Amino acid sequence: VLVVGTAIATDIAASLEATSLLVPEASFDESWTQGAELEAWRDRSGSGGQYGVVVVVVDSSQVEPQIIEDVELDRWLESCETPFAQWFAALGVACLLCVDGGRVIAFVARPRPMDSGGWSLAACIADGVETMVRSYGFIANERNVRVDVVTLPLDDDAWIEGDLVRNRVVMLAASSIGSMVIHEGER
Amino acid sequence: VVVVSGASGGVGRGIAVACGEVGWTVYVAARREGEGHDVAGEVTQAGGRGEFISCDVADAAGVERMVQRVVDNEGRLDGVVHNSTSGLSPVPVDPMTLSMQDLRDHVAVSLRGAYLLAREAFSPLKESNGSLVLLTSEAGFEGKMRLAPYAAVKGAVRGLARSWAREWGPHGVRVNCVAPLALSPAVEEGFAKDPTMAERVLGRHPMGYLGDPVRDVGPVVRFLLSESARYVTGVTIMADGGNRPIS
Repeated sequence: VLVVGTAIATDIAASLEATSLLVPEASFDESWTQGAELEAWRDRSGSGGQYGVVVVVVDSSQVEPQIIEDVELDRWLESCETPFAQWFAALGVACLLCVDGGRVIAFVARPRPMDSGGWSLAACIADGVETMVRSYGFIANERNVRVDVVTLPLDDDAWIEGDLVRNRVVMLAASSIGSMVIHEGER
Repeated sequence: VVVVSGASGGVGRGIAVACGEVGWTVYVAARREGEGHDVAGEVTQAGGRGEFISCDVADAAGVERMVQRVVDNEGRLDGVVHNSTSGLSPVPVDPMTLSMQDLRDHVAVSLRGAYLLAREAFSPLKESNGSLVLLTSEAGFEGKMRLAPYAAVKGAVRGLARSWAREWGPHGVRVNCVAPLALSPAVEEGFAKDPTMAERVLGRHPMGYLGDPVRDVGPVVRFLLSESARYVTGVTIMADGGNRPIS
């Protein structure tokens, strides 16, 4: 098992006794100057399937609610555009590092729809990641790699923890069902 | 009084003209001045009042100026439609090798543009109990093998709309999405670049044709902007002739 992602990936990897691969920390400006660094990381990291299961997890971009008219541009760039790019690159690397017939499993924080007011940056990322996973799923399906996403409710600080990831990884890895989208804990 | 971004052609033009047909004042917001003026003329010819207004939706200062100018000119703003997408939208790509600058273009136009328009328009929309409509796509539901960055931003737009509908509902402002499938220059370009696309899009289409931007898509957006949709918020309406793999 490999865990690809931002800082949180280290803890998740430790709980799974897995290897971790960290996406470069970044805080994009309007021109995405640091995008070149992310692109270089993707290009040097992703080659040759080596892992049967690759977990992808990027830290939640939003830690407190904020109505959109109060969101400054710098905050938008840091909490929406930056993680959007990190997710896009990380999922690509994950697919490339997954063996034929393996499974890529993304975990993303998603505000519950009825409680999503003030959480639009996180909602934007969650829905974007869900669609990214579907697109990468189409591509990876040519190698019989399945790409899943598990969305977890963003209603407290501990939106993700090792035992939950382990349980979902075991469940999905044992499944023969094709790429799946699971909205965990929504009501 | 409504603003339609990316209205110098395609679906945006259809929305602008459809709004003009019922006598509304429509600000055709776009970067392409010549085409924008032409569409503004079509709006006026259709029975409304069309005004071209230059705007790059990815530029914060430009969006602020644009919204302020509309409010200064008209004294109100009743609706905003964010239709702009990156010029790269119809270009097939391999997401594994996509340049971050190309991804940035998708994100800046579709997502940053939505954020900037929402941020600047909220206050006047609150005054008018107005409405924001964001254009998404069937691609934003199911993903796309060859158009992954386009699909990703269109999916992300739906997350924004769902959240903003909750934020703005108490203020009487509605937020919805429309997912069109229409014959536009971008779609024609996509068909030209990928010869298999036409068969994939139309091969199993229930109605067998791509929608007309003015007759098939514009009226749906106009409905969401209108008083008739005063109790509709937080939804995505598919204006695609039934061509959806995921309902």
